[in-house]
Amino acid sequence: MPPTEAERLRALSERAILDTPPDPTFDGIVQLASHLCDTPVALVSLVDEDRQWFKARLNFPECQTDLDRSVCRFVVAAADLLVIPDLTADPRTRGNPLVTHDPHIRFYAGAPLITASGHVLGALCVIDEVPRPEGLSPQQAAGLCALAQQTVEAIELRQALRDHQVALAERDAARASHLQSDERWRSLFHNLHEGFILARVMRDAAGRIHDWRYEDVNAAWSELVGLPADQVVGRSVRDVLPGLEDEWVNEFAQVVESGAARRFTRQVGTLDRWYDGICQRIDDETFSVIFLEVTERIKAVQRREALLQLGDAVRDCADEAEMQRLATRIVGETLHASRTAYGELDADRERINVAVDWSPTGSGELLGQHPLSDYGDLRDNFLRGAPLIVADVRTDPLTFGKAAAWAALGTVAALNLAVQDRGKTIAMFIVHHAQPHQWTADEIAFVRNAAERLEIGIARLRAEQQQAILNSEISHRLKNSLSMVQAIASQTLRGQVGPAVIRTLTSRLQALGTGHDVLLQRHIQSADFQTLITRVLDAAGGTDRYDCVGPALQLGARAALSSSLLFHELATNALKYGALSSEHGRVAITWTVSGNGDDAIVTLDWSETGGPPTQAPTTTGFGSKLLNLGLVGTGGASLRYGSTGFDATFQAKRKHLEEA
Amino acid sequence: MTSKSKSQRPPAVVLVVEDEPIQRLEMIALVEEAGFTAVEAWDADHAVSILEARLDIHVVFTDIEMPGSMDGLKLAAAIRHRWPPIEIIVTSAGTRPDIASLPARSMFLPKPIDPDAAIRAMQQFAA
Repeated sequence: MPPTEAERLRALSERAILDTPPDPTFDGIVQLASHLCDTPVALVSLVDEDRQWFKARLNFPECQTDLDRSVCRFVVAAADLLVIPDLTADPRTRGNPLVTHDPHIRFYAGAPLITASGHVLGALCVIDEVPRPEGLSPQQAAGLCALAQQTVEAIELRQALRDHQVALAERDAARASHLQSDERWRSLFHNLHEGFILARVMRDAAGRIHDWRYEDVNAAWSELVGLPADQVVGRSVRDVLPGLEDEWVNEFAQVVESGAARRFTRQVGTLDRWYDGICQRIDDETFSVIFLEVTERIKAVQRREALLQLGDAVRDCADEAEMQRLATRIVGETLHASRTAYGELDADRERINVAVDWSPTGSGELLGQHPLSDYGDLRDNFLRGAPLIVADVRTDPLTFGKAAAWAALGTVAALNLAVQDRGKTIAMFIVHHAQPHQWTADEIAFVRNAAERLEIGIARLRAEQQQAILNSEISHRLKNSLSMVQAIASQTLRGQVGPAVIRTLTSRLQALGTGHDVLLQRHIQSADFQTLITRVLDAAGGTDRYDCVGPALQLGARAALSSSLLFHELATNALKYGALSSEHGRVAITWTVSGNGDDAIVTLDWSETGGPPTQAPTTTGFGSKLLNLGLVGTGGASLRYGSTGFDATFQAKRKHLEEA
Repeated sequence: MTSKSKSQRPPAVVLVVEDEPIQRLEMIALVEEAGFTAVEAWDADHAVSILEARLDIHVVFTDIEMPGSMDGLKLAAAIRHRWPPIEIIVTSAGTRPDIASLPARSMFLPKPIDPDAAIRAMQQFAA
């Protein structure tokens, strides 16, 4: 089926040749056609919807005409060579204005321009002003057709070339755009503040991921990890960071295998740096990691926790050496130091006496006396309280002259803080690193803080020790004085009163001594109630016949002494006249606390059983006065002399017992 | 030195060692009240010289804090070493000594001395 006119017009339009500038190829063709057919005029005519347009023309004034003037359209319609010897004689052309008027053409021959797909785009034609009855010779006809074919090929070639150029241009444009976009991403990637890793997993024979390889890293990576980026691409992470924690491989392997992205906050121990980031799978073999360094944040948290831990340890610790061990260990572990130590300054202020030396290996090689001058020009600054902060002892002017001494300790970086008491240096807190180390302000503040806490703890311990010595000395003197009073009184009274009276006096003095004893066992301000009762009853005799039950309670100094006299009196009475005077009698002592806060009341019941009937004393001696004074010497005593034995209830405000 | 003992055999002898004279008198009174004969020494060296001179001492009743080359604890240790049969009672106004610093078969009484406890102890040792 022949192509329709619409398809032909589309084919022509696709060639995009209409209204284009002259082209030497086509000009050459019309020259040849004119020569070949010996005509003055030759045209390459393209027949459009409403006009014919000449791609090339020889001796023809107009570049286009309407279709009324076109002869070529008959060639298009016929799709074959058309020769009209005399246009005025042919019914199709004798009314054509070009024939009837200027330029009065008479002879026409046109060969169709037929494309490979059968569309006739126009004609290559030759024209003369004189009729030519013999038409074209066979050679001329064949030549004209061949030239027409050449014309089509030139059109197609031009088209192909144009298509190719368009394709090339498009490709160049696409490439340019692609390059631009790639460059944008690359620049973004490299200017990222976050470190970025593109990585490929490495599998063992069993297909298990055991390592991964850097495919690309950005500039921030290099900064955050501290290694040049160009030296790691293509290498495995275990190769780049020997001694790396397995988690850095295992967790990323899980991301690749599960497809689920993961956040992490983890340390590279060998770098002593912490990272916070996210790992995402790209495909079965690759993943990306974007991360930030958070070392300072993590370390600040660690230092804060270490100080809390140290504060607790120092508070709970009752031994100086143990306190120093804890402090040096906590500081050493927190700063990953090669050594920490604590030493006190000698009386001559020339030497440090190191009693505690921590190191990860526990080698303790700094223990003992160290003259300050052995390690450099340190003494003056140290005595002034200034810290020694040295990043590298081999180059620092204060220390480099004694490099050998430092080397013997395996120390390269040192931080020595002076611990001061009332403006005077008393001790040194020492932190060493085996590698050069720039001490940060935060680290120095941390060590200072730790050293101060240790100093406060030690001062507290020493104050407590002194207090204990003082307490014991006071107790000794006090009891010695009581012994003197007892000796004088009994010497004075012996012979004047009966021995029982002397015994009553001396045993009361003794109960007072016991009260002091219990008081001074703790702090001088308070005594434990249960201990006091037990000790006083113990001194009076028959301990195994008492049953003491009650909650823990502290007594103030005055309450402790008055209570010890009270319990002595009760016990003595029980032994002489009460339950303990008979073989199976017992005494139950119970105390309870009721109420809360300042209003809490302590109620103590003294209850004797199994003894003879008792009667209230007829006379009021010192003994019954003591009983009526009660626990704190202000009364609150209720005494009951019954037929089954003696009972008493004593009440006092807990506040008075504790504070009196 | 008098004895209140009415028994036929001679009363046991207790050596009182105390530097403070008034307290020493009181300790002697307690010895006598217990029914024994008291011999007195004002410090540890004096006590040793008495022990070296006499063979009839049954019990030594000594204070701890005393001037001189030995305190009461050292004296007690020396007695246990040189005169093993002698019984020892140690007293002090200071803190109770460790069991380890007291010789075997000895007893501690805190000051001020409980007279009954002291008498019971002496009678038990002399029995």
